[in-house]
Amino acid sequence: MKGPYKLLIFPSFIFLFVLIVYPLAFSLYYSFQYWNLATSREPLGFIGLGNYLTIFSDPRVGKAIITTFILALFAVLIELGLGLGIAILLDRDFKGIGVFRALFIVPISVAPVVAGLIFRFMFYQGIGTGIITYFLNSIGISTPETGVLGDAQTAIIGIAITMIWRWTPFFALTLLAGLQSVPVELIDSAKVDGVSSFQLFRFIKLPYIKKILSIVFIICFMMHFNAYDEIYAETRGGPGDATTTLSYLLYWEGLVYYNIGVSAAMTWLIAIILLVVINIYFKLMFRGERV
Amino acid sequence: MKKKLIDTISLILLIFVTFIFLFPIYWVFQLSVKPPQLNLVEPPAFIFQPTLDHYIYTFIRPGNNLVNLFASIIEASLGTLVAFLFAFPASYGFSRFDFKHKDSLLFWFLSLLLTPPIVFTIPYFILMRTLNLSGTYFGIVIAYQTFAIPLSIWLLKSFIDSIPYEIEEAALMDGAGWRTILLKIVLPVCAPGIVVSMAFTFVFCWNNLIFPLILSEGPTRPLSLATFEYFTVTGATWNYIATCSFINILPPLILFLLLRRYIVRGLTFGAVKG
Repeated sequence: MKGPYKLLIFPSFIFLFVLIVYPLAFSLYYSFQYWNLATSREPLGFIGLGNYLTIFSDPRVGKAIITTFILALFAVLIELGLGLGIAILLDRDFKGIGVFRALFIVPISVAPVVAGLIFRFMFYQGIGTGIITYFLNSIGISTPETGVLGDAQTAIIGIAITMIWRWTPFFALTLLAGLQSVPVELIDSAKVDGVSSFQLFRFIKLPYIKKILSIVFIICFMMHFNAYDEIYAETRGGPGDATTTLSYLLYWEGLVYYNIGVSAAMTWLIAIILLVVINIYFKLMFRGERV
Repeated sequence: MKKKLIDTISLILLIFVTFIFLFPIYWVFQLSVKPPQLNLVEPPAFIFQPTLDHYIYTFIRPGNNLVNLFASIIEASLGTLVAFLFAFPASYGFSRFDFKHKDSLLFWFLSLLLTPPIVFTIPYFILMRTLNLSGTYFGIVIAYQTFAIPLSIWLLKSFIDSIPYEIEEAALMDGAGWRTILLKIVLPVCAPGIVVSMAFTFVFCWNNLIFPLILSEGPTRPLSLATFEYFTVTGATWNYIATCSFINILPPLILFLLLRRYIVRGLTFGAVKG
């Protein structure tokens, strides 16, 4: 159909284009400048690849990349497993199932930063004991003296648990929607053919939810890759740099140390990592298919 | 018989899992009405005389956080409204017209929703400081648009896609202009979808931390961010943190429960119809 589609779309497009291009251009320009806002209001001049050399020789950057991927991959895979299990339970048909389906919405509605605050309280250990710490200790699992979030080895697990709590229901409900979109005739005819419920799941339902799963997985992976709020609420990237993800490192460099040049270079590092990850993902997921 | 057994096991498992996933919400609520000396006792205090003192302190007298609650409401509402004004015509354009690069353009909008917001923060921080817009609603509402417009476009498009085209076609035959069609036909017919889309956009704005973190000051700090003032060098005032947190949870929670039929569509940006 012909019509004024340009007129309809251009305002959004132009507005967003400006909103996006400005920060990218800003980052590109200042990534080649020496500029620390704490010592100077103006950039101190062109330094070539200096900022990029700084970030590549900074051990924190490599560590942040590893932390980011560990958090994103492990948490998302656990959520996927748990979420699929819950989705299968919710897919059953008995009285009152609607209530359970509704209740799983609750964790998703909580702001990530608030989720972080709640878990920070529950993980607390110091003058008094938070309930998770108390529970772990009482079933014989000892927690570090500084608390789960205060120990370099366990802090990342604490963050992951917070994210798993918030995002597992997301997987459960989206995968449930997938399971329920399988046509009833297909299930009925399979039952007539006498397939077991495992076979029914493996060969009929699972292929059906594959498409949904591929969309949900990448959304969730990116949300974890970008994770910031929970870390801000729970550990501030610490102890040391145990929970410093790329997003958090960028924030720290730019808005705490005011190293605008270095943080600008880091922006491009993150952008390039993301482009690579997303391209690999779509190549793997949609071989030959049009997205 | 066998079905009954499996149903019973599923039910027990479901009750157990639901309990675990709801517990943190209960725990923050009970903290908000708990006498402070019982906050972190060992073993945890489940039974106590609840008190409204913490709500009174944070929201009524002296009520320091009331202004933050208003800031949250204003910022999320304006963010949603601005996004709608831009996104409504655009989503109609995407839904009803075919043109070159349409798919890439839609994909570009989607990719904005997955971009780490942190990469925008420092340039916006410097820009708003230069323009003297730090600490104003304006700066935050503009920054929200980086995700609010793409989200609204995708959601609205998914709803407009599902309404039949015949009515508009008939109106076109009668010589109606595009403005008439958008405002007099699509707007009312699509009203439920619009409400759902705006509600989701509202929740995404409401739950955002990172833009207010760098762009708000004092009275424009939203509730979630103001909570952090209760962490001091001498310790955290957990009960006040809990009242602010619980109030902060309520609007998204109520909206999501009301719109539970659309929850999957909303959270996957319209990609999965649910």
